[in-house]
Amino acid sequence: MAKIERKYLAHFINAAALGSTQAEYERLGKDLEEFSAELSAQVDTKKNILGESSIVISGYDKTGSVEPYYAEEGSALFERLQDIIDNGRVLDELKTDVVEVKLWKEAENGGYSAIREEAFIEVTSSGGDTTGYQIPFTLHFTGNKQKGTFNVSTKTFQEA
Amino acid sequence: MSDLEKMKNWLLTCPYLGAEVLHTEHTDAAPVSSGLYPLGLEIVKETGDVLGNRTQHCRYRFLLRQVVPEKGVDADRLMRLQRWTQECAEKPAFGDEPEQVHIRAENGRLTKASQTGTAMYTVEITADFIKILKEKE
Repeated sequence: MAKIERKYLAHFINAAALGSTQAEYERLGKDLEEFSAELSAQVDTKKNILGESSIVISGYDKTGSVEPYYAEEGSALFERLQDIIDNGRVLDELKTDVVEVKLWKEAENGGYSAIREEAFIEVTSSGGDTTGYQIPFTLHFTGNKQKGTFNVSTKTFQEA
Repeated sequence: MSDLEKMKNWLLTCPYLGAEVLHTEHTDAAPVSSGLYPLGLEIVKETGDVLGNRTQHCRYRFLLRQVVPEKGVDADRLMRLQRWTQECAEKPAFGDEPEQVHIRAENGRLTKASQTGTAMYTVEITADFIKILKEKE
């Protein structure tokens, strides 16, 4: 069995401008050596007087850190992040969605197996060093998910 | 145009080069003669991203050799040449990010002085640039 290369797990973030009803997906990953969704499970472990352990995993506090992110002119994601910085956006103004696409699974009708999840954008800083204008951010996932397919050519998500 | 030709053409714009012709891997014994000797390409660092793209931080090394009529006269000119490579706003377009090209000219020195009076000076020139190997979509 062959290892699955990292490039076959794709993450597309909806970078549409605030208030837009049409999703505009951009793939995360340029200049990003690593992107992992940290699940941070809520684990409750109890031991009874018989020496038996019971483990309850009741949920997840899933986050994903995008660092570095280099600002690029013409990028919808850059425009969204810069808007957050310039206007101090808070609450639902930071809401977006992220589609995780499994590119190693054979496409069906032009779409790859995918899961869309609601997330909130936390801009952690802006500026950076001499390599370029950087806006690292963290995605906080809510657990509100839909299964479906994603067409990488049209960059559209179709709920199952 | 090859990267070697780009480098030669760029050096020929230097007001302190003191030559109108720049040979490749060759200098005449008689002054004034200038030659540029490529010393190869080094991959200083290579990184990748989750899209499968590779970024290589590359370095060309060159040796500039000049045969001049006598020692001592050209030392100041070569020091100015070294400073010019650092300060010149226009750089040769190496790699995929021309704004990230950095040229250094260092260790300019007299390497040989003959009994007939001619002298040879050398300057080490390095060019750092970035090459991006994109993953096929």
